[in-house]
Amino acid sequence: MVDHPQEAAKPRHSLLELKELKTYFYVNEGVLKAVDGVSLSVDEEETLGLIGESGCGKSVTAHSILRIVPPPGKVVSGEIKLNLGDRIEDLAKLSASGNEIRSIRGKSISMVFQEPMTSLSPVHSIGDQIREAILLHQTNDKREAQKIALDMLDRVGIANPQQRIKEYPHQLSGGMRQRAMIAMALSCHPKLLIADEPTTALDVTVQAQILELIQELQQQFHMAMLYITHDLGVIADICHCVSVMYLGKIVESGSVRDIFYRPLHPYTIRLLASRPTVKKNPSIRLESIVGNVPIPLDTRPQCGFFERCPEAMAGRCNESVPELIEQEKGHSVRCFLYEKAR
Amino acid sequence: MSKFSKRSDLTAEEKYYLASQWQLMWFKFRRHRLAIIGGSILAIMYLMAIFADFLSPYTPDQTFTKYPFHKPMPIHIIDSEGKLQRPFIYSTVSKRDAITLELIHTVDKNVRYPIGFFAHSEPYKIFGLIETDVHLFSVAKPGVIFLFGTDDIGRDLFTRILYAARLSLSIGLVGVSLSFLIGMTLGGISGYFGGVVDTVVQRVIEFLITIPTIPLWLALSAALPRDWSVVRIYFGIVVILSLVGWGGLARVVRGKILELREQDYVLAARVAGVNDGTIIRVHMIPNFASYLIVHITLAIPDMILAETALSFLGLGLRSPAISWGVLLQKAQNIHSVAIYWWTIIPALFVVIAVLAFNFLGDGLRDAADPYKQ
Amino acid sequence: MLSYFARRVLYMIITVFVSSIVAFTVIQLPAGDFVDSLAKQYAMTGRKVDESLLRNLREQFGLNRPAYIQYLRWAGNVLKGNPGWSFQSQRPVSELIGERILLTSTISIITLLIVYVIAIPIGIYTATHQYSIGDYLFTFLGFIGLATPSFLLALILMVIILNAGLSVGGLFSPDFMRADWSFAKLVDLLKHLPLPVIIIASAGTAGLIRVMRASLLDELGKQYVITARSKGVNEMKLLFKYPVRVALNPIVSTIGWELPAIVSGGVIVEMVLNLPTTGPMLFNALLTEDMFLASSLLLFLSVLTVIGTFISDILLVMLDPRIRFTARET
Repeated sequence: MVDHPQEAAKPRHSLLELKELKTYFYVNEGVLKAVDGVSLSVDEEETLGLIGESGCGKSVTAHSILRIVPPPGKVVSGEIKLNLGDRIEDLAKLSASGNEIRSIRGKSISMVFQEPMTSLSPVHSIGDQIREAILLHQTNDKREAQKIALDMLDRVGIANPQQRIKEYPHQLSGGMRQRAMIAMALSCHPKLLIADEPTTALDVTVQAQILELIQELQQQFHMAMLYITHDLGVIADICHCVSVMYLGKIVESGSVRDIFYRPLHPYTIRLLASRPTVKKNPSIRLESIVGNVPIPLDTRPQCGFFERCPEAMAGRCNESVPELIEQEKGHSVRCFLYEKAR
Repeated sequence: MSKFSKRSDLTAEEKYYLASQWQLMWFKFRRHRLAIIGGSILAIMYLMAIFADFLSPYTPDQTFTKYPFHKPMPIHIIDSEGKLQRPFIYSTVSKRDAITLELIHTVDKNVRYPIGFFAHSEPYKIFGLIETDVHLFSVAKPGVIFLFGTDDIGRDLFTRILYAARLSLSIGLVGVSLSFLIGMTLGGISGYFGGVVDTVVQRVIEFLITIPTIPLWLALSAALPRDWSVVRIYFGIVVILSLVGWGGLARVVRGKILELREQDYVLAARVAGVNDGTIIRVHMIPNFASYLIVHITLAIPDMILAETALSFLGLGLRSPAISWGVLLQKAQNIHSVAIYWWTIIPALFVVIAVLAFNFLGDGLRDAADPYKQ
Repeated sequence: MLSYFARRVLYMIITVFVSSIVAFTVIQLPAGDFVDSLAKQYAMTGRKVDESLLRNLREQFGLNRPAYIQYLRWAGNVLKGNPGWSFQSQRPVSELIGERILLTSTISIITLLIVYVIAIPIGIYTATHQYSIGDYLFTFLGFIGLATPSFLLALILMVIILNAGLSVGGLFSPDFMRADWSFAKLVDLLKHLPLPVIIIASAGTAGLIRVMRASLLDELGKQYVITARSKGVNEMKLLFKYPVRVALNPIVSTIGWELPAIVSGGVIVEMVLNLPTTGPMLFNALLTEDMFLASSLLLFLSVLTVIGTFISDILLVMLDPRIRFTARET
């Protein structure tokens, strides 16, 4: 668990703030509310973990920040406030294909994706792909770009960068491809790195290496990070703060200690309880949450977790949507159990 | 929370989850309007071909020596005095031009022939069995009705086009069935067993694809003896067309089998002791049946076009057999087409049939991948 | 890499060889030979036909030898540069097909280029502007192009041109037909080329637009496009550098099969328009069983397409690094 007492004392400036972000997909079957009122904030040099099951809207949130949500998806409302130092820019108000957002992509905010094989172009060398961002945001000189690229490859731990930079993605191993992608994302020293499940597709041993690398680089580059995952272990390892997401909404958020030691929302509690641990009696059945994650299509105005919640209160929880309310400092939850009865 | 809800209570989303593969395909197909149109057009055309004898006013060999190269006759419902009448056509008078010796047909607006439905005309046999002389529509003698005009010896083109549909539309089906048999067998064997067999078959297919098909068809058709009967020539053409065409289907089959061979469920079946033939039949074929259907649907129009082209050039079906291609032989001379433009009408039917098949095939192709979003 | 190409060249040679056998065999299929057809021609014009004359002719033309001997003699001669003798016109085949081969090749290559030059941009446009009016329009035109038999298109266009009062048909105006090659003749050729090229290109273009559209649509949704966008690359540059580049692969790899389709589709159009190219000559040769002429023409057409396949192999290797490296291992 992250424990930096001296860092806890340092006043943090807010780098990215999402307020009631809504991203909907307009499909034939109706309106898919992938992100339905998400609020979170990431401070400078801090790591926020975004956790939830597949399909809860984590990736769409990340894509929304960079405004790369593919049609038929659209950022419908809300704010995405980015602190650029001299001003605050609301990314939600920018045109998705305009020059302003493009000057932010790759430069102030970068993203690393889950599957490095499909995320890299198969017909361009990795050197070409790394240099592309550098040439866009940092310099026009091809030779200088090459030098920076080689330096980045070295920093991410790829041996023999002079040779590797000319190679194509299919010639590298999975771990090396992910390192190359990290090099590509960090080449312009972004203030915020969004990592969308960067280790899920890798072998377990490689996972650990990549995690270590990311943390190192984060410290070197003084970056903030939004780390998206469904793996609780990783959250515990590297995050300062955590936001738990379910069906397009944040259901609980707080520091990593708050969430792990004092979880409030029934979903969070079950999530934590469903981990197999070494300490428990081996013959006890693993606890799991009943049912499946529903698709956010034709959602009713009720708590999203109502169908699967063991503490659901019929008549309250299926009548309206609870608000995200702060219960103790920095720890908020969206649940009627903690709301005073009306 | 009830675990078992009635079918009607299912939300749209749950219905989507529970639908079988074929139901999903049908849902997607229904949304593809062009495909529905294409399918309907084809249904109409095939019905037209089957009931050609009833639907046409005459028989295909009936010659009206007085009216060679007659223009198409429009159907009127308002007569020369402006009164509303039963649908009718005007009579034609033909005179021989003294200088050019050509027969000129002029419309005589004084004489009207109302169109009779379920009228009596030239006798024919339904399905070759029952003799009757009732046609859907005709006009009383000595009136004549040529909706699409006549050809050079005075045969009604409308009638001949309907009858020609029989051969033109059936050659596609028969030819594709043959290609399908050859292609499936060879492609399946090639893909499943691999090795030397695969290499040999692959080379043969590649070779077939590289040879320009039309010259090959020309050459093979020229080889069909002139004195063969109509039926033999029909099958000869079918065999020629499918011999050259099976390559494409075989490759699709082989590709799919190669892909599926590596799937885990095939391995599981093998481990369970299922024999090869059953594996191919039960596990693999249903998986790519949809692709096969698409490919076949799109192969039929190619055959129709091929037969039309060959017959047009005189190398395909020959008289007295009629197909749209044979009818188009009259349209070979550009100058005659310029004057007697109605000789091109059979080509219109070809285009519509081919378009309809393509629309249908496109819709099937979209539906064939029901899991693709 | 070198071994890859060596194998392709070897394969090319084998294909040409097998094509020659097939070409020769196919000509042999119709019952009877040239002398029979000549006899029929004589009979139609009323000339008396004498059995011993026929036998002498057979001996003279070498038609009384078994088929494989005839083939070997012919093949051997072809390699020496003498593709045989045309019975019908009593001239060496090489004289007859020389100019025609040139014209056929020119038409085929120009048509091929036009097909790709037109189809690729339109395909890209319809994929990126899905469901727009332009998309529907081009899709509609594409369908018509696919469904209309080329000879029908030829006839329709010819009627239109005739009504407009221009001369139609053929590749040259009457004055230039027998003239020697000159710049003026070249210009005349260029004036007549558009009609056959457009007709032959129509079916191929229609099909290619659909393939390009489908291929690009597949790539547009892929992850690496999103990655590039997340770096801040602008949309136009992104489109051409990434998905178009990858989507071109299946297009390029089928150049090898597009050329045979163009060559063979061209045969019918050439016949309808009565062009001085190989198509009509082949047709006549087949009907009269002018053996060497027909076989040589079939062989030429096969060679043309084999070269096309080879070129598409080269292009594919250049375009896709993945193939470049697996090729190295074969």
